[in-house]
Amino acid sequence: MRKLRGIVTQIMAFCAFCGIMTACSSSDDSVSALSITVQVSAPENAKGLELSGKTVTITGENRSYTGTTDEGGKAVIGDVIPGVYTVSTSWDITSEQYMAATGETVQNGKYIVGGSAASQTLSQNTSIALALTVSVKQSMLISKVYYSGCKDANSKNYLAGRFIELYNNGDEAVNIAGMYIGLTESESTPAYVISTKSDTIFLKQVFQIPTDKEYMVAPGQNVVIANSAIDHTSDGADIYNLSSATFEAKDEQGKTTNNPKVPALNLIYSAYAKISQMNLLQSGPTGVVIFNTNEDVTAWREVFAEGKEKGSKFKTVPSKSVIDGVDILTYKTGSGIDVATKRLYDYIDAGYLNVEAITSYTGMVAYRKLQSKTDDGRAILKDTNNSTEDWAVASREEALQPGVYK
Amino acid sequence: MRICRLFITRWNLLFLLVMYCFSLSAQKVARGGGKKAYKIALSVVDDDNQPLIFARCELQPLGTYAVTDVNGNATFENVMPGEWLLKISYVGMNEFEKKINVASDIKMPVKMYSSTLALDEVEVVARKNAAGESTSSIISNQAISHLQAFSLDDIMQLVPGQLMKNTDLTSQSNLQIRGLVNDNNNAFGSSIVMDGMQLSNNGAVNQGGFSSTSFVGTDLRTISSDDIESVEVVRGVPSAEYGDLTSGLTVIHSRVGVTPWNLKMKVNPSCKNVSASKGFKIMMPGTHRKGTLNFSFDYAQAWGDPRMKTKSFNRYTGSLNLGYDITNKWHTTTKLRYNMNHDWSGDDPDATIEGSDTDVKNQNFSINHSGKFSINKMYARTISYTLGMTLNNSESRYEKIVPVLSGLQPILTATETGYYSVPWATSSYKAAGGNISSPGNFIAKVTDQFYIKKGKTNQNFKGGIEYHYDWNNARGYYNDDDRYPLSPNNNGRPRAYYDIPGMHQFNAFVEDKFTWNFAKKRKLVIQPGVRFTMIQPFKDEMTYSVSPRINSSIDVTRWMDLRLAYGRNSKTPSLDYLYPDKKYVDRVAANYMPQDNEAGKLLVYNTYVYDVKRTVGLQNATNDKYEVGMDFQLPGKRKVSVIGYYEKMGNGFSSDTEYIMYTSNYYSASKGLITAPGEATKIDWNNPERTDTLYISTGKVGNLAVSVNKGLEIDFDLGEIEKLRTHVYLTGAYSESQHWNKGYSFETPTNIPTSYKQYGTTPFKIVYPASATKTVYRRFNTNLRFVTHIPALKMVASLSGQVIWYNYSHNVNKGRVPVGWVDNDGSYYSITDAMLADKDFTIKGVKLSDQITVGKENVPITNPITWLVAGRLTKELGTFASLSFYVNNMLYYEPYLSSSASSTLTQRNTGTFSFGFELAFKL
Repeated sequence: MRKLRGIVTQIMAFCAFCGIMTACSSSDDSVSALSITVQVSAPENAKGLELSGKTVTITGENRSYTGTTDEGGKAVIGDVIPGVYTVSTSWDITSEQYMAATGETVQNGKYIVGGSAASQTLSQNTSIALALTVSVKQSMLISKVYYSGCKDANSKNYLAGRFIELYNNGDEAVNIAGMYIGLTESESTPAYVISTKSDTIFLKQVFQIPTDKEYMVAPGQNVVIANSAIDHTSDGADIYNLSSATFEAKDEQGKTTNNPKVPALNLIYSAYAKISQMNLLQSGPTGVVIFNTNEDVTAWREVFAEGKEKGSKFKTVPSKSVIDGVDILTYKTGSGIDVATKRLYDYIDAGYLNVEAITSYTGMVAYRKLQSKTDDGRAILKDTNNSTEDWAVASREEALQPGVYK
Repeated sequence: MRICRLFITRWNLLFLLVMYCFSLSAQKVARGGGKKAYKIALSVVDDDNQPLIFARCELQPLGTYAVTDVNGNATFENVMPGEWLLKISYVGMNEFEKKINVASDIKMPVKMYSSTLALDEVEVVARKNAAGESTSSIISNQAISHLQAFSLDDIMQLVPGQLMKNTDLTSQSNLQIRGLVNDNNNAFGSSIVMDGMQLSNNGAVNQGGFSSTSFVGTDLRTISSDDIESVEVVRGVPSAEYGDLTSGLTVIHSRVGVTPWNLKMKVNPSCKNVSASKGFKIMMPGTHRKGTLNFSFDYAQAWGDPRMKTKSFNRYTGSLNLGYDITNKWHTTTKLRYNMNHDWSGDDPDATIEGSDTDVKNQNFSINHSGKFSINKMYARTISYTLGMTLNNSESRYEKIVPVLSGLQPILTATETGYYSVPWATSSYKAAGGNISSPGNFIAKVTDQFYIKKGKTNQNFKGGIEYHYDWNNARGYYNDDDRYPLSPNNNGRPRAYYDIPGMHQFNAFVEDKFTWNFAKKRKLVIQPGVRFTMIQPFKDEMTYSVSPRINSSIDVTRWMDLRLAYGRNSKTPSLDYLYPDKKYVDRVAANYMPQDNEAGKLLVYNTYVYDVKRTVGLQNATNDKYEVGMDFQLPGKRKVSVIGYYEKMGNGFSSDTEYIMYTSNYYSASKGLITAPGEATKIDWNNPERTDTLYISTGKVGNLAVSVNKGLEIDFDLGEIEKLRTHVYLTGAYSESQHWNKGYSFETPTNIPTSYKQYGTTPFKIVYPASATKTVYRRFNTNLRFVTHIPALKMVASLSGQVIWYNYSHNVNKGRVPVGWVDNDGSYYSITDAMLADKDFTIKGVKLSDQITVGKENVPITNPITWLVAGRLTKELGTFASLSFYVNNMLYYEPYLSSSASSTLTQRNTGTFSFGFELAFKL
C-alpha cells in the first residue's frame, strides 16, 4: 500500500513538472523577439537614388531600433519586441545628388529623402515596404505651434496667447515678405480624404506676410506670428510674452488686444465670418503650412467639402508650393488619435503631432526639437519632414518661450 | 372632420345667432308657461350621522347650486319639475349622486361616506368626464395619494397619452397638453385655475430678447399635491367660462371642509415631503354663525442626484381657507396661500474652491375671495363672484467667473445709441448679479347662472364678465457692479421692470347648455358659447379676439353616444411679448492699444439701440380645436371611449424677423485716430477708415410659430375580473405634433468675399421662406392598469404597464431656395426662376447658386418598442393610518436598443427606476 502511494506521488510529481515545463515554453513563445525587414523604395521621379547604407528606425512608445539598408535598400532589424511602431527613415542629399537621381536641373539647395509608416502593429516576423519621397530641405520652418490655449489665474479658458513661430534653419538669410501662412480645414470629418487629391491641400484661412518691404530673417532667427502681440504674463493669464512678436493677425471685432507697433498680416482668405485672426483650434485639428507662390492666391479656387453643396468653402492650394507643414490632429478620449484625419501628405509632413490631453487649455506648446548647435551657438532644428520624429510637446511648467530651443 | 371645421369656421357667427334666438324664444315660453316650481330640502350627514357643514350640492344639468349650513341643511328653491341629477360632494367623502324626480316639494336626508378602501368603490385612476362636456380627466385625492405624487407635475401622468415618469423636483416643469415635445406656446397656453382663480403667467418678464426656450407657463412643481381634493385636466374644448388659454386647462380644487388631522410623509431616493392639514368648524367672532377653517402646510425637499449635491430644491407651502355664510343665501370662501420655492445649483463644493452659484428664490402670496348668491330668480339663479390677487417675488442670484477667452472684453453699459469709449477686461473676472421679478395679478369676475326648462328640453345659461390686471414692478435684471457684468455682451444690459406698463384684460362670455331628452334615457346636449377677450384698450397695442366654442353629444343608441366639439382658444401675449427688452447692438469703432503708452489706449464701441417699446400688431395666439368622439357602454359595466382630435395654432408667439439697417464707423491708427506718444488718443470723427452698413433684427415679437397636434385618444374601462377583484383599464393615445415657422428669414449669404467676412459685414441680405424646415413627432403609447381592490383588507394594489409602440421623429428639411435679397440701401429685389436656373448668376459678386441649399434627406428616426412596469400598493391600517408603496420600472428593464437611424445601441428607460413610500395618518 505504501509502495503504491509512493508510485502515485512520483507520477503526480512528474506530471506537475511536465506542466510547469510546458507552461514555461508557451510563455517563452509570447515574448520572442521579431525580425523585421524594411524595404525602402525610391520614388518614381528619383529612381536613381542611392539606397544603401541608410539608417532605418523603428520607434515605439518607449523603445526604438535601428538598422542599415543594404544595396537593394533592404534593412533587417532584429530583436524587436512586439508592439506598435512607426517605421521611418530620412537622409539629406545635395542638389547634385538630387539632379543625379532625378535627372532634373535644380538650383543649389539641400534636399531630404524620407519615408514613414505610422501605427504599424508588429506581432510577427514581417516585411514592411517604405515608399520614399524627396523634398526640398527648406530654410524656413515652422518651429512652434501654441494652439492649446490655457487656463488663466481664475482657471478660466484663455486663448489670446496662441502663436506660431517660424525659424530660419538654413545658412543664409531669407526674405519672407509675401510668404503665406495657411491653416488646414478643420471640419470634424475631413473635407477631403487625403489620398484622393495628392496635389492639393485645403485651407480654411490664408494669411500673408506683408509685402511693403523686405523682411529678412537671418540664419537662426525666429519669426513669431501672434493673434495678440502683448505680454500675456502681465495679468497672469498665460506664460508667453509676445510683445516682441514679428507679425500679428489683427482682430477686427474689438475682442483682442492688438499691438499697433507690430505689423499686420494680410488676411487673404477666411472661410468664416467675423474671424480675422488665426483660427488655431485649441483641441485640434490644427494643420499649419507655409507656402510661397508668384501666382495670385485670391484667384485660386474655393471649394465645398467633398460631396457637399453647402457649408464653408476652402481655399485650394497646390501642394508643390508648400515650404513646410505640420499636421496637428485631435486627441479624442478613448480612441486617441485617428490617423485617417491627417490633412497633409507624407511629402509635406510624414507624421503628425498632438497634445495628449483630453481637454485642451493645457498651456502645452508643440515645438520642433533641437538637433544640434553650430560652432557659433546657432540652433539647428530637426527636419526629417516627419513631425512625429521632429517635434515634441512641452508642458506649461517648462514655459518654452519663442526663441528657446531644446 | 374637415366638413365640420368648414361649417363651424364659416358659419360660427350665424350659428351662434340662431342659438341665441332659439334661447330667447325658449325664455318666452318659460316665462309665459308659468309652471309651478318646487323646493328641495336636503339634510346631509356623515357616516356618524353628524351634520356636514358646507357640503356642495348641485342639480344637474340645471347647474343650480347650494351649500349646506351648520346643521347640514341646504335648500333648492324654485326648482322646475322634471328629472334631475343631484350631486353632493364633500372633502374626504365619496361623491353622492342620485337621480331625483321633482313633481312636488322634496325633503331628503342624505348620508355620505368617508372615502376609504373599505368601501366598494375606489378611484385610483383618472375618471373620464360626462358626455356633452369638455373632454377631460378627473383625478381624485384617492388617486393622487395612491400615485404618491409630490406635485401637480406627477399627477399629469394619469392623463391618457402621458408617459409615466419619476418625480423630479429640481427642474422646472410646465404643462404640455396633447403635445409630444416641449413647446413654449403649448406651455404658455396651458391655464391652471386653482380654487376659482386663474394662475396668471402674463406678468413674467425676462431680460434680453425673445427666447423660444426660456421657461414660460406655471411651474407645476410649485403646486403641492397633498392639499388637492381633485384635479380636472381639460384636453378638449373648455367651457367659454375659461379663457386666456390655448392648449388646455387644469382646474384644481383644494380640500375645503371639516376634516380630521391629515398628516402625510413621503420619501423616495431624491425627494422628501411632509404635510399636515386640518379642517375646523369655527364660530365667527361677533356672530352666531359658524364657518369652516382649513389649514394646510407642506414641505418638500429634493436633491437632483443624491450622489452629486450640485442641485437642490426646497418648497414650503401654507394655506388658510375660510368658508363662511354671510347670510343664508350668500356663501363665501376666502383663501390665503403662501408658497416659497428655493432652487439652488452650483459647482460641487468639494470640486472647486471658487465656482459658480445660482440661487433662485420664488415667493408667491395669493388672496382669493369668492362668493355665491343663491338668488333663485328667473334670470339669476346663482350669481358668483371672485376677487383675487397674487403677488409673486422671484429673486435669482448668480455668481460666476466670466472668462475673457480672446483677451479683451469690452464692458458695454451704454443704453442709448452713440459712440462710447468703454473700459475693458483682459482676463477673467468675478461677477455677481441677479434678477428680481415681481409679477402681480388682480382678477375680478362675476358670473350669472340660470336655467330654463320647456317640455323635454332645458337650458342652462351662464354669462359673465372678467377683468384681469397684470403687472411686474421690480428691479429686474442687474449687475452688482456694472463694471463687471455677468453677461458682457449685447444681451447683458440691466433691465428694470418698473417701466413696463401693466396689462388690462377684459373678458366677457356667454354659454348655453341645451339638453333635449328626446327619448327615454337618450338625450342631445349642445353647449355653445362665445368668449370675447380684449387687452390694452385705447392703446396702440390693443388686440382682441372672439372665441366661439361648442361641445355637443347625442345618445345615438342607449349604449352609444357621439360627441362633436369645436373651439377656438386665445391666449393674450404676456408683458414680455408686448413690451420686449430694447435691442442692443455693439460694434467696435476703435481698438488702439499701444503697449508703450498707457494713456493712449482707447477702445471705442458704437452702441445701436433699437427700442420696440410696444409690439404693435401682435395678436393673441389662437388655437382651433376640433374633436369627434364616441362612447360605448358595453355589457358588464364596460366602457369604451375613443376621441379623435385636430388642433392647429397658426399664430403662436415667436420672434419676428423684422430687419433694419444702420451704419457704423471704424477708426484706425492709419485713419481717423490722432495718436501721439504719451498722450491720450483722439478721434477725428469725420474721418473714419470705414463706414459699415449693418443689418439687425429689431427684437420684435411676432405670431409666426405654427403647430399642429392631432391624434386619437382611447380610454377603455374593461370591467372587473370578479374572481381576482381586479379592475382593468386601458388608456392610450396616438399623437402627432408638427412645428414650423412661417414668414421669412433674412440671412447673410454664404461665401461672400473675405473682405466682408473679416469685418462681419455683408454686401446684402438674402431672403428665404422660413417654412423650409419643420419637425414632426409621432407616438403611440398605451397604459394598461390592473387595479386589485380588496375592501375586506382595506387594500388596493395597481400594476401599470406602459408600452410605447411607436416613436417617430423627423426633421424635415426641404432645402432652401432664396426668394429675394435686400441691398445695403434697403431696396428689395425678387429672385426669379431664371436667376436661379443660371448657375453663374451673381449678386454683387456673390454666387446665387451657393445660396440654394438642397434639402437634407434626414432619415426619420423610429425607436423600437419599449415597455415599463410600475407597481403601487396602498393599505389602510385601521381607520387612522395608511401606507403606500411604489416601484417604478419594477423589473428594472433598461435595455440597449438601436434606432432606425443608427445601429448604435442606446440604453432606454434610463432614470425610470425609483421607489418610495408614503405614510399617512388621519387623527
